[in-house]
Amino acid sequence: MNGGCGKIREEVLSAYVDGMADGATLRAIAAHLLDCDACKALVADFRHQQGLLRQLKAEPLSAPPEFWANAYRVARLSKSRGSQSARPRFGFSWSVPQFAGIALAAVVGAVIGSQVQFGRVDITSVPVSRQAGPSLDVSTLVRAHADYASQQPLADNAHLTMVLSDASAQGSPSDGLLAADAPTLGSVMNASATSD
Amino acid sequence: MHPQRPIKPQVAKRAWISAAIPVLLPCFFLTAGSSVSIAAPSAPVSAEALYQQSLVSTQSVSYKGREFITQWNDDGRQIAYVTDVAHRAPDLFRIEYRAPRTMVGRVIIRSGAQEWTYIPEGKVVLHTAPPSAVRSKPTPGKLPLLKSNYNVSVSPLPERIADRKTFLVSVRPKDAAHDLLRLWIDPYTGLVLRREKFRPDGTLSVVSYFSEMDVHPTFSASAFSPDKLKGSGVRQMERRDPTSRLVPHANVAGALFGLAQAPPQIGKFKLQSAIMMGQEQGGTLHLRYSDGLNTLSLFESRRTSKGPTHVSGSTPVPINRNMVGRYVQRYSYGVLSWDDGRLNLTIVGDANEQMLTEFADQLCPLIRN
Repeated sequence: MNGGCGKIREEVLSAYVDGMADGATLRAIAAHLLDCDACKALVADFRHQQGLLRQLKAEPLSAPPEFWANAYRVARLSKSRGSQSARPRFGFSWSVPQFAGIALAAVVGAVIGSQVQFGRVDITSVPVSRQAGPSLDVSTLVRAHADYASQQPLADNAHLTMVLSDASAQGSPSDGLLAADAPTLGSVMNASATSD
Repeated sequence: MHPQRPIKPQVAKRAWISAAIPVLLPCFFLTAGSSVSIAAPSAPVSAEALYQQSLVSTQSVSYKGREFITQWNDDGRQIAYVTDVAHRAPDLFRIEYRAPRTMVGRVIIRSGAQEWTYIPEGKVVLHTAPPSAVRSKPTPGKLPLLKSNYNVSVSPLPERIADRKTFLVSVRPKDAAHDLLRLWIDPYTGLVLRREKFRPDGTLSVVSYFSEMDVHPTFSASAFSPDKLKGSGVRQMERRDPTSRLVPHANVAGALFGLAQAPPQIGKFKLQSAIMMGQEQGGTLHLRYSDGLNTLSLFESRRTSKGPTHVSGSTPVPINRNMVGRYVQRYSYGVLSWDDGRLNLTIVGDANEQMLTEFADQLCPLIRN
């Protein structure tokens, strides 16, 4: 596998591919990738591996029946203990010098961190950007697009009908704000299971 | 370039075909999906007239057959479907899955924009209201757009697919070395019996073909009846899509309280129509673009305190050198979302991450005031 240019560690690029990088790191990597073919190739490798991993189907896990009863009992117990004392309890207490020392270290770390540069890219020069998602759930947008595409000449209407149907059945609640209106295949299955 | 003699479907002699191929080749493409009656003009027909007829021809031929579809996703995954497809003109479809194993028995019935999907593993019929109350008709204006962006050629020799004679039509972007689309078209019905779609790098995206095809078959009375899907113990669930209305071109700029950005052209893609989904206040503007063959949708909505939101499974990608969007593939479509501070923008298209990013790079300078 290509190892990238070395200016950004592989673990950081891996986190970027996994969607775990955020804030300044994300912007710096995105800007770096624009100019670095080696890292771009490494990211492509990671994505390929990610695709292969997605093909592996995880076996569904099922908890033993007593798990939920125990979990419920523990939760109730915790709640009743919490109501006795509103203050959280720690196993140790902070002294003033300890707290001051850690706070100072955090401030120094933040200042140093803000000056870090990845190779030629100065992250402070990258304008603030945002990661956005659509206001409607993705499946609704895909449906709207597929519907538009089906009205075109030479459209593969049978295939587009399958896409439309799949988008209906598999809209994910995590996709957007109106997703509560969209039944997912999972909710469909659950509803069916309860009705039978 | 135009046929001088009437076309006689199914009875043409080999010699006639040989002589007519150079004349008919452009017409085979332009009449894709056309009915027999369309392909039998009594007088020379212009390319434009044939093209306009082809826009409605898919609604004029009934058929049923078995279709095999293989789709390759960006991440290398390959999905294969086998379906029995029935179409009764003008707008009834029935699709029953034979493969993959997880979808065997699923049935889709589509009537116009209404749609019912029977999911056997859940004993559920999912009814979906029209995703768009506005179903705009294809416009004949796309022919010049198609010609300006693509070279279209036709193979001189016929091939047999599903035991029917077809001609291969190749569509290649003028600025590319690879075909983007190949269609094997039955010249007598206009049906596309095999279709290969490619990515810009020449790799296959989707291949679909019919192994058997019966044209103008007799259907049973219940073949397209959604009521027949609802057997004992089967529940029906409803999916509501947002209401929508067509926004005239002149009013697009005023949509989303004047925030809407609708460039008339982005690269090779021209704005075709605009739809407002949902209410104006919290609605989403659906801008529909086309390059004559491919389509792209640009969705815009006001950025609110609820946004930005993350799309599950998406990955960050750089846009326009200084912004970060999120890309995800759903079905065969790429979806790219980002936020320019005032609007949430999403592009959806039959395209991969690179193509959508390039489109976004072209779009960003156009919407910055």
